[in-house]
Amino acid sequence: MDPDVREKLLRASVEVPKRTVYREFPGETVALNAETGHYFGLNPTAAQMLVALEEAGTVAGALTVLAELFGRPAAEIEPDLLETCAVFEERGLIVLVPDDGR
Amino acid sequence: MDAKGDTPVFRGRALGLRIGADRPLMAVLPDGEDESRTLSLRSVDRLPPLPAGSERVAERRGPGGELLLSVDRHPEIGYRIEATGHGGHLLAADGRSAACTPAVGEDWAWHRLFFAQVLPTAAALQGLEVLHASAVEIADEAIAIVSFSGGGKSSVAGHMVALGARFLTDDVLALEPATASLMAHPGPAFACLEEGELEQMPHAGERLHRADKVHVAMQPSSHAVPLARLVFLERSERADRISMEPLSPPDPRLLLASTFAFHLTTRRRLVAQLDACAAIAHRVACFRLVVPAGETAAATAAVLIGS
Repeated sequence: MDPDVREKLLRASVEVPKRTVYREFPGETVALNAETGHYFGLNPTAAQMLVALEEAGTVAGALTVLAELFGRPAAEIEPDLLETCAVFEERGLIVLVPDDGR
Repeated sequence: MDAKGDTPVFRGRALGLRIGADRPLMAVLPDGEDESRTLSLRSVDRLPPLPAGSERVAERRGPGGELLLSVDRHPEIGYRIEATGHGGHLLAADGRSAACTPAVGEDWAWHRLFFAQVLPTAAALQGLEVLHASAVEIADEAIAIVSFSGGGKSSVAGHMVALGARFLTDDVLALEPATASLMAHPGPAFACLEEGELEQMPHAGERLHRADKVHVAMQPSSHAVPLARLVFLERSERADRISMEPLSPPDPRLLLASTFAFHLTTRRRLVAQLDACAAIAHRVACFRLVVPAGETAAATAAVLIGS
């Protein structure tokens, strides 16, 4: 990933919009984009990422939370988290707000 | 039965709704105080057109492309549901009232559209989850059978009733999330069965109407019961015997695809559906029932009764 893009993503704020609803099922979590009516199955790791993003409010904050949760170095988790963020954003499950530097 | 104006002259209930109407209906349960959700029906000469901003959310066409059924939605006004030869209904967006033509309860064709589309839509709009399922009651618990249209769920449920189960509903099941379970509400008091299957049920009720299937009167349970088992019925060319295996865990897609009301896509409705499916996955024993293509509904019912 381009270092500038990576840096921007890590500094971005995360909003889980009202249209996104997710519920835990046995073995997986199902996320709903209530605007499109599309459902998405999330494995346990992706579900934990969505929860961490919502609670931390920033990608960097979620990375810290997840590194602690999984007991792994942040650098190891970061590529998966950034890729998952892009997928979540594409599906309308989260909104990434770039940090404008102020 | 002599009140006029806005006061209903008829009251009954089905699919978790108390129904008040300006004329009598067939095949509903006697009025009761159990249901807090209500649906008020009034007869009108003609339905007003939906204004600009409405959209078609569902339609069904015949083999020649002719329109058989249409559902149009306006976000504020509600749903206009019409079927050729069966009349039309303008159901309010909150699912609590409907204007109907021809007059409420006019003939059996009127009831068909009402029970098949309007009542399930009203139930879903009022927060109940509606599954494409038939169900019976055994020992104060509901067993629901899910399959695609023509998959045999009505026949299997009918034979389970013949074997001693209590009829609960045919084709549409209304579920209400409760604290510890999901409550399965009794449906209208009839089932649509194949003539050949009915001939094997000597104690079947009165034949109400005959179309592609026979509409036969049934006596549903009088009250909602907890849903204990949800059985997904599959016909298989490869299977050589009836088999039932637990779905543990059940696939959420299977549960979400079992809904009856695909045309309802408001946020409130979709969230309620997701909640109900998650509750089923956590609280209800789900099974996959595989039936060889040539096996009878009676044999399938016997396996379910004995399981």
